[in-house]
Amino acid sequence: MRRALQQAGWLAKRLIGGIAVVWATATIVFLLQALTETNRAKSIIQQQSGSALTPSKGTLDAVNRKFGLTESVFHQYISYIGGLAHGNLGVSYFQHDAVTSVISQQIGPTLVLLFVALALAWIIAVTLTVLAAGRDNVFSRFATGFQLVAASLPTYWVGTILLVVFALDLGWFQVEGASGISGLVLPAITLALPVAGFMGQVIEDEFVSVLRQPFITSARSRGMGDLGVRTRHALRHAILPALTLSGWAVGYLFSGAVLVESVFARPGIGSILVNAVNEGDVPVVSGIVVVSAAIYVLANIAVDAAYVVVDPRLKSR
Amino acid sequence: MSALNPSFGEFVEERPALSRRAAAFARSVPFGIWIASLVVALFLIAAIFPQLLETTNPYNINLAARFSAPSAAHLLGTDQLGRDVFSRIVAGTGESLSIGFGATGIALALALALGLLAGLGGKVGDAIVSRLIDVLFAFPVLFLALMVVTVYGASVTTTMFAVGIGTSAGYARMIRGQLVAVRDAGYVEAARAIGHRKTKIVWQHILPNALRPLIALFTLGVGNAVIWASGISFLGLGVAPPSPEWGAQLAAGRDYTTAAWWLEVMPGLAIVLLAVSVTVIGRHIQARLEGTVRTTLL
Amino acid sequence: MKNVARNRWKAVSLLLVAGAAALTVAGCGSSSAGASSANAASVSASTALQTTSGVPASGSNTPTRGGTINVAWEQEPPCLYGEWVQIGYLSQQYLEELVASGPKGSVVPWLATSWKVSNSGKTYTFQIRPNVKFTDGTPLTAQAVVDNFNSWFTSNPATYNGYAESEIGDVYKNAVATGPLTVQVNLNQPYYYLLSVLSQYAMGIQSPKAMSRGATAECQDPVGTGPFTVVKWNHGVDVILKRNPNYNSWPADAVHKGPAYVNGIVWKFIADDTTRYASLESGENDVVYNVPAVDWASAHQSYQVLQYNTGGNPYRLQLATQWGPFTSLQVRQAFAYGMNRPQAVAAAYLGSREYNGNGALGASTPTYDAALANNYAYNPAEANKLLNEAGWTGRNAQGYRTKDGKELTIVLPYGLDMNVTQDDLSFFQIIQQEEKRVGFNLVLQSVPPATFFSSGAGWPGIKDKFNVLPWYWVGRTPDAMHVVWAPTIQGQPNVNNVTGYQTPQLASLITDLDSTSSATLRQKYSYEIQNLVVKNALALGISPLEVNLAVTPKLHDVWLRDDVGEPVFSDAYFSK
Repeated sequence: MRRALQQAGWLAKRLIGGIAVVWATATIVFLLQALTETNRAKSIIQQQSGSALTPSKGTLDAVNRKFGLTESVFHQYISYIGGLAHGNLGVSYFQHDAVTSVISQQIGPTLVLLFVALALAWIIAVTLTVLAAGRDNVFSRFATGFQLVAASLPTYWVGTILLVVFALDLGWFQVEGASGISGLVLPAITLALPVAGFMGQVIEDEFVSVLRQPFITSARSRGMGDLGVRTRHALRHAILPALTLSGWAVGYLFSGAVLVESVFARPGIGSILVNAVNEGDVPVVSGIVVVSAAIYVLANIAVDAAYVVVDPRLKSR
Repeated sequence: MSALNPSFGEFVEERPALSRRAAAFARSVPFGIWIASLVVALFLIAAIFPQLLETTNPYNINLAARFSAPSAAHLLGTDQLGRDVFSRIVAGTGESLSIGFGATGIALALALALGLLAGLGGKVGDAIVSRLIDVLFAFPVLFLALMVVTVYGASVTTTMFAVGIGTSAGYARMIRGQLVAVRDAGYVEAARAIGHRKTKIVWQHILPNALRPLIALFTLGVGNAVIWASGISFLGLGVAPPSPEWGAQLAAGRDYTTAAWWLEVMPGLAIVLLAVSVTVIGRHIQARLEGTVRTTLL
Repeated sequence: MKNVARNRWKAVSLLLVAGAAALTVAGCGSSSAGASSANAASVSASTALQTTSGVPASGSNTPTRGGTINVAWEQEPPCLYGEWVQIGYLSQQYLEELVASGPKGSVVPWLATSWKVSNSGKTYTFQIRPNVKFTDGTPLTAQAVVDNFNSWFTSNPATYNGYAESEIGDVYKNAVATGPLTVQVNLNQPYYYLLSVLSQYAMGIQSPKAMSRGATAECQDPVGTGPFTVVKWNHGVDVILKRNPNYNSWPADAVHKGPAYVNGIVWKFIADDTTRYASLESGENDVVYNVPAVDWASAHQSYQVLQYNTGGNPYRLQLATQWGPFTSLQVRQAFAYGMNRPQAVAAAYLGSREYNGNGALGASTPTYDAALANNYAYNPAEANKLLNEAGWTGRNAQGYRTKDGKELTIVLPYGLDMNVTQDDLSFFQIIQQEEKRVGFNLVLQSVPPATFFSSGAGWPGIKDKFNVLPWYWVGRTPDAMHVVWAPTIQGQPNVNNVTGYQTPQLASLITDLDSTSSATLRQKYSYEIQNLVVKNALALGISPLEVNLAVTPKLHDVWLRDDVGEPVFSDAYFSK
């Protein structure tokens, strides 16, 4: 009972902290956008009609009223934050649709891609480490080299090359943004490689140092095979820093998703974001940033919870 | 090598001659680091004195020689306007590297400010700044960069600031962690016990020890920053043509990939080569500082 | 960090990666990029509108029912109804206009079966086609048409029609239903081109019942009378259209009289050029919009290639005459002589676009003056002479001319993401280098679209910060020049006139052009306007805006309408 209360308390504290972070993010985005040009109604109408004509006062008034653009900055901020608290992210300037609707229609593919890439990165990093770390053979040198190079690969460059080679030339995959598993392979690999590179280096370092610990030696002396030692004992300790890195990776993957979705013509919030930023569709931009911040916060809370579970040293608390 | 010091009656270590120390140092550096250093040196030359490495004028449009594959005349081929790709990559090094250095500098400066405030600002300062760092982390780098560039326009400076601010969170956390660890370390406690003033402790003990890893961080960061900057260029928000900045070349080359693969592959290789070399050097510096260099491998 | 870098192996593995990357990508790409200006197949003279070249349609010519057309378009619009041309290509599948654009600026019946113009030229009476229903079941009546007119000229931002305002806002008075199927449109002064305006894609007639659902619905799911209806819009992916089985309102120039042959269209959005074109090669799509210049020649070997050169104001360089170096006519002319535009167009666009030197009017527009086609032919000697005469005799360290210590800097901004392609940028870089030789420092500057339109009155919002602006305003008839050169629109200074050049002579020529009903006089006024523009080096033509499609040979009878080149799929069928 006491343990459950403790855990609940910990969770509550983290959630409150997370809400504070999301609020701060929303505020920063709002301020950044508030710094852009002042006559937003005119800009909206002109872009919408593709005409540089100054719209009539009636039209301008209608737009101003609809989006509350003539109220004071402070007033706008309050209604913005108030809306956020109710899950209302505002209305898109150009799509005449609620931002929550715009985002929810397209965020699915991005999230799928993100987590598949993350899982793939883990698999690559862990496999390489278990098989290669601490050893001194050709394979281990290849593994280290691979991780180093992978961490230095520009995402869209790799994506373009993979697309040209495997989809256009060899025809193994569909060219346009396909749905389903086959459409995920190339984009996920593209995104996973740099993350696998970073994580692999971190895991490997930790792994090697763990392998030197006394309890490993005693396990070996009790007759445990090398692979067994690596997977059953060392790995558990070594992945801890990688767990922490996973939290960071979620943020990194959001950035990567923008590029990869563009290269592979995949739907997702990446392309919406780029268009919205170019058009100056403020509510959509703010909405996407806030949503991704919220997801990032949740992912980090999950990571911290997993940390407690995985780290045998913390278990006894 | 010990000798009896006549004045103090103690054993002191005599320092060997400079040349002996230099030779020992050189031997302790693995061969691969020399390669990486050479590569970085070449890039630096390309950045500061591009004329030394360019084979021809990188801006020279030569419509007759468009889309030529790599050959003796053009080492890495020509682009859609007949310009020599090798020379353009050399010419673009300056801009790309300055964005890389500038962004990393900004990131570290910001991280330093935040880290110092958190590490030395007492519990309240730590709490507030740590939250700020969390918020920075929550901003995907590219999202922040997109917004900054849209508000302030696309130029070398805005890209630098966008990438710099966006990547500072990780460094801030690292610096803060270092500061906290050093702050609570034994020798600081000893210094306090002796009665040194707080500022003296900070300047003489905490800061130097906490900031030593920054050098390694800087080198690691430059490669990272160049990659981010090229991503921004790829989205079309980078510098305007005819700039040979690497990201801009990659963005342009994409359209021609199936017909002229070298336009897309070559600038990307330059980025990867720079990033790998810089990372290798950075990790070596880190290893040295932690005293964990092994020279068993070449 | 305990693991020291295993560096030699790192170097080797890096080289292997590089080598692998290079080899694989190299081994695969075709190397036909070196195609010279495309005399591939039979691209006709520049006065032609739609040209069909490449491979002919294959298989039997007997129309068959069935199949779904997979179309890969480029830009996803923010709404499915609106005035942007990118929306127009799509909205013409489900919306129809009162009249249809025929060749050479003519109009033929569509939703209006006939019309009469009063002697004063101020009243148009349209008979609406009977027994037509919108796809939501409501009938097409005169009142429905009037409701549409009213919605265009209101201040409701959702339905406000900027195109209508620009073109006829000054002359439009009202529209009235004088009978169940009779609509009277009243103007307050004669406007010869009203019919042409009404035929444009932005003037599609929607179901009033559907419009009453509000802005969001109108944006996501507009309802018209067309051969297809909107089923679903999968944002970021595609729009699903299905065949309207009750379709009975085909225009007079339809190839066949009846509902569409195919079952539907999947209209996809693939912004990346390489991916989009590759999806045609892989068979995933049947029709692809905007063939990359680099593939232009090879496309002719495997597909039907349809190209439509729009008319009106072509893509051109407009020179700002109210500030900076271009206040001087000599400097403007020197700028024109200092670049070889036809050669730059051929080199940059690899044959996929034609040269249109006349900056006032596109070659496919009626009353185009062909004598102006080669204005300001490349002549650096003349350019140098003019610049010296204008006082730009100094030179600075970089070789650019100076006058009183100021450098001859010309700023050319272009909108990011506003259909500026790598080929456009190639064109700019070519002329940039040519102008450098005569002493101009032409600086290219990218500007996000939001900034393009913002701060101030539209284009002049970036005033003082630009000297030359590349842009276009498409139209089928010479009155497209009105949009750019009229002194005022709706009582405001005409912000579409980027050059800022205005004289009473030009203003009266525009008014005369719009209002005269004499074909001879129209020709005369149009010629005079074009010559004025060219002589004063206000607009230097580059190329007509064009629409091109690559179509798989087994899809027959796809054609591009002589409006903005929007594709017509209601006559298309798959051969067996």
